[in-house]
Amino acid sequence: MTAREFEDRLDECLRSWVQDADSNASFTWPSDVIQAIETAPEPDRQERARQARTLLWLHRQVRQAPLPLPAAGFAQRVAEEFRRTSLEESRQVVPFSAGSSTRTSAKSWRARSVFWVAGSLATAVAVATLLILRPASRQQLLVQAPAPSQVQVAPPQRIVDPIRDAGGAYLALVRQVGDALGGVASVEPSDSDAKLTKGRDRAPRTELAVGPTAPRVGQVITESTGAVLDAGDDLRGAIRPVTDSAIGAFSFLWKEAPTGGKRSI
Amino acid sequence: MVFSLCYRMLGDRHEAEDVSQEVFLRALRSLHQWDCQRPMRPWLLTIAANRCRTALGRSQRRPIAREYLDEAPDPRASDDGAAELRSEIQIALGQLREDYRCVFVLFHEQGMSYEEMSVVTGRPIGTLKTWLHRARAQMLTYLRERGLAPEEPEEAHDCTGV
Repeated sequence: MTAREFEDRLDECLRSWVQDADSNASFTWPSDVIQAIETAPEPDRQERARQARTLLWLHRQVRQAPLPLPAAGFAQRVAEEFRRTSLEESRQVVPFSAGSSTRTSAKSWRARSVFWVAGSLATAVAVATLLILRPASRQQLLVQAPAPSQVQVAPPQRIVDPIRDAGGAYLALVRQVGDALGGVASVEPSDSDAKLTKGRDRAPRTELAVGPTAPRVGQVITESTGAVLDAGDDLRGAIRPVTDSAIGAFSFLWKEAPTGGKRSI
Repeated sequence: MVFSLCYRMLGDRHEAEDVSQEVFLRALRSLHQWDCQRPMRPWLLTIAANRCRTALGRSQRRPIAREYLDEAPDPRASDDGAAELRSEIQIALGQLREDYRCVFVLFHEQGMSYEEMSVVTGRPIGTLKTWLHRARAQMLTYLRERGLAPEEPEEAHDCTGV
């Protein structure tokens, strides 16, 4: 048995010991390990015996150190998160009848093929046109183009970015929600969503993802009551926890304001 | 199982709870990716190991045992010697390289085989053996320096005279 094989064998023995008995049980190396030690030439014999003893000692110490356990409310907290996640995902699922997925898939594939063929044809026609057109014709085209003064330039349209537009108002709304929940640690707005971290000091964190889509300052509907709120309303009276637990999950549905306009809080 | 791996990897109870929760949520979300022909444990621990790696990369710091900050003492740690050893083992684990630590915990604490560890870490078995060997050597060196590991352990009664 080589040194590597010997170490592998020791590992194997320890692992089977872990599975078969608890760490306080006595342990005996199997006969093949003892034989591998005793039949080894003298310097190796000592080394292997020392290796077996040391490994067993280390393994025993690690096993005897009690495994850390999570805090008492951990399981409940995970269960709440499970519930909240399931709830969110169930909202996003679009139901369809049995067998429709195949049809949809085939339809989608056909549409993609048609799109690809049409795109290729259009590209080919454009290239051919460019090659066929003589310089004179191109010149003519340029001459026929309208004078710059005749071109009407539309005023630049403002691209609406819901989060950026809502700006402070949106964050204020988030903070207001946080205040209602009590103990806001941080507000982290990002490009796509905003997370609100709730937690008192070392209490378990509950993260509120405020809308999977970019929210606008507008209406908030509480899930539990179904009440519709206008922006600017005091959220404290309307937000209800989904569960009775103090660290329960809260869910909000964000909807755009019916007018689409910005409203301040 | 998941929590203990996270705790050993991160060294902080609260962070371990957060990451464990994330592991379970990720597992729930990607449950459809799990091959039901295979055991769930390595799959779950794979997610846990990856999440721990991400968390460690995010925090950019080595784990520190902060058990003294826990609100409620662990009733099992009533013996001072055991508590000290537990603390030193956690610190020694924190000194290990992230990969070594993961392999050490998976083998000695979770009792995983090399094949299972290979699934969890995505590394070949030969590499894992080398890592585990080095992890043990470093752990022993640390514990010896702290005066907790004897130079020549007396396990004769357990080793049947070896």
